[in-house]
Amino acid sequence: MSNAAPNSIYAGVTTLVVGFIVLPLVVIAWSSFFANPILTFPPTGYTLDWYRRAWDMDVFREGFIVSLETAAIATCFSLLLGVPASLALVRYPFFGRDAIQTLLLSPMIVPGIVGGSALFIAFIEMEAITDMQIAGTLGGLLIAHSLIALPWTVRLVTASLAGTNRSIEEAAASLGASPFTVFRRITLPSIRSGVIAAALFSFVISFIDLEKSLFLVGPGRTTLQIALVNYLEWNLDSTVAAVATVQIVIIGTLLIITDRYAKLSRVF
Amino acid sequence: MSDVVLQSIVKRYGATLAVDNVSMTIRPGELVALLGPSGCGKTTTLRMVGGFVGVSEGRIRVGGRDITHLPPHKRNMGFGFQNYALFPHMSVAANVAFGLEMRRLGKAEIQQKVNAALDRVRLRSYAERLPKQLSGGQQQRVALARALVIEPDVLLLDEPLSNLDANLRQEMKDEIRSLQRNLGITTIFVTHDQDEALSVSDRIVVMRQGRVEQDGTPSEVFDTPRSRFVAEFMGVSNLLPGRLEGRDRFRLHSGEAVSVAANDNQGDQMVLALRPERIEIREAPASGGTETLEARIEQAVYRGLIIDYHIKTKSGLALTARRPAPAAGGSQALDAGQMVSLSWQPGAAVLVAE
Repeated sequence: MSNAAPNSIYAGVTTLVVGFIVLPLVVIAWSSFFANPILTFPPTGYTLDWYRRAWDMDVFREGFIVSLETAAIATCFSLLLGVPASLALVRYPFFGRDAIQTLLLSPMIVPGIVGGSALFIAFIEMEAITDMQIAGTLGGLLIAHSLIALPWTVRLVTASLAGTNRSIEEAAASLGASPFTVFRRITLPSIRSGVIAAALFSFVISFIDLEKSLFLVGPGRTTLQIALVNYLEWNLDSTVAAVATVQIVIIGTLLIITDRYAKLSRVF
Repeated sequence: MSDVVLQSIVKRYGATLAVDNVSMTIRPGELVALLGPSGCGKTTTLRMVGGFVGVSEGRIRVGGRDITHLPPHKRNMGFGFQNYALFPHMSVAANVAFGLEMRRLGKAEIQQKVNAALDRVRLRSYAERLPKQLSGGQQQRVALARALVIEPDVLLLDEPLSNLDANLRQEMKDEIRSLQRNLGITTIFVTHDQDEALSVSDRIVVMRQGRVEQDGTPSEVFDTPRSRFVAEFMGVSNLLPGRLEGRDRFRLHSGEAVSVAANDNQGDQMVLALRPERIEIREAPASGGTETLEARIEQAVYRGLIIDYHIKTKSGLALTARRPAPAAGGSQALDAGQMVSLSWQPGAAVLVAE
């Protein structure tokens, strides 16, 4: 019996799936160079004007900066919470460990729009009690984005910890290293690639989020994704395609770097 | 040099007893082997001394100081792990320097001590390599250098030879022994290998199901096992059940009566433990005088330097006897079917409890 037939079917299906994923991206990148004032096909010529126009528009430039800021800070939060949490989950058997692990991974399961509205309602309730503004502030947005990033951090770091050798930590302790020194000098270096992957992935996940942020942004504090949706409501030109192409390049680059540190296919 | 005293140590995991009331004293400079099959509690005991496992009950003292609840990094003990546990992201020199850095020694002093430690295990020229660039034996030597450079009060070794191949194991065994002797460091050595325990230690503690089964010098444990378990574990393959008749006669269940060294053992159910090497085989029929058993060779198994003879007595008792194989061209080996007479020195047969 020959394997040729199943192999060619496999190759065909793979090509189709990859095509479905890549084709829209190619079309978006291509249309960002169209000279047509309204997005139509075929292109009448090519231009780089849309990129300049996008940068000149406050909503996009500021949205880009807000998104970068949010993603960077949320990444830090998710590492500060996620790395110790992962250590506890992997190293110490304690009551309710499975429940806590599920809880930490749950933001990945709850639909973004549901999580976002739940947070919004919670913030409003908290505002009523504390008299502090939370919804629409950077703080509120950061809480939401840290939540988006946390499950990825926990998943990547626990996977990385599970692969490390516990006895090297014990060896360090027997040589006189305090628990904190053991973590800093031994544990952290041995899960370095997992932590880097978690940071990059957290950044990407936060950067591309739309649904959770929808209720939580305030005036003058709009993320890039929301600025894009707002713009699309009233306009149909290639500015959006230009912004999207920039994002695709940034995220694609980060994912490629991430994959060098941790094979994402092995973590999930 | 410090002594190590374990007082009624208990370790519970939920309802199961991993270590059940273990007491022992390791004298300063002594090398004690904890010997037993897997799951006997020997590694748990070692890890309690090292501080990696909490003690449920009892006390551990080192040099008079109670360390029962001291965290591992304050115990000043060197620990050798089965898988060596070298820090993979650090060079050999950095691995050895780690414990000295923790003791906040000066750069020059660290450098000098690291060099001396690496010289001692003959790995000075490998100082800048990473652990993964070394062979198993070299890694083990680095691990030893790293554990010893901090001048620990006690050295704890957990199956340090089990990941090495046979030749290297012999070499490493000698190396551990000579390092330990030269430094005079109190050492606990966990192993499941009786040869290893016999050749490396001053004293052997045989453990079984969380308890100390026997505690004695290698020759005591080897020649006078206290129980059937120890006898079997030390490689005694002839275990003949029977009962005492008087102080020095032992009646085997198969019917034969043999004399044993006078003893005050009580109990109907006893076992005569007899090493196959200690049985003397004669081709000629019994010459009288010493005790003999008439028997027939069922099978001869050639094993290179030795030959194992599977023997059956007239009453149906099965025994194994072992003799050096004759050199090429030397006297003939015995053949299956041949009638022989068996005898042994009275001290060679040991009575143990069933």
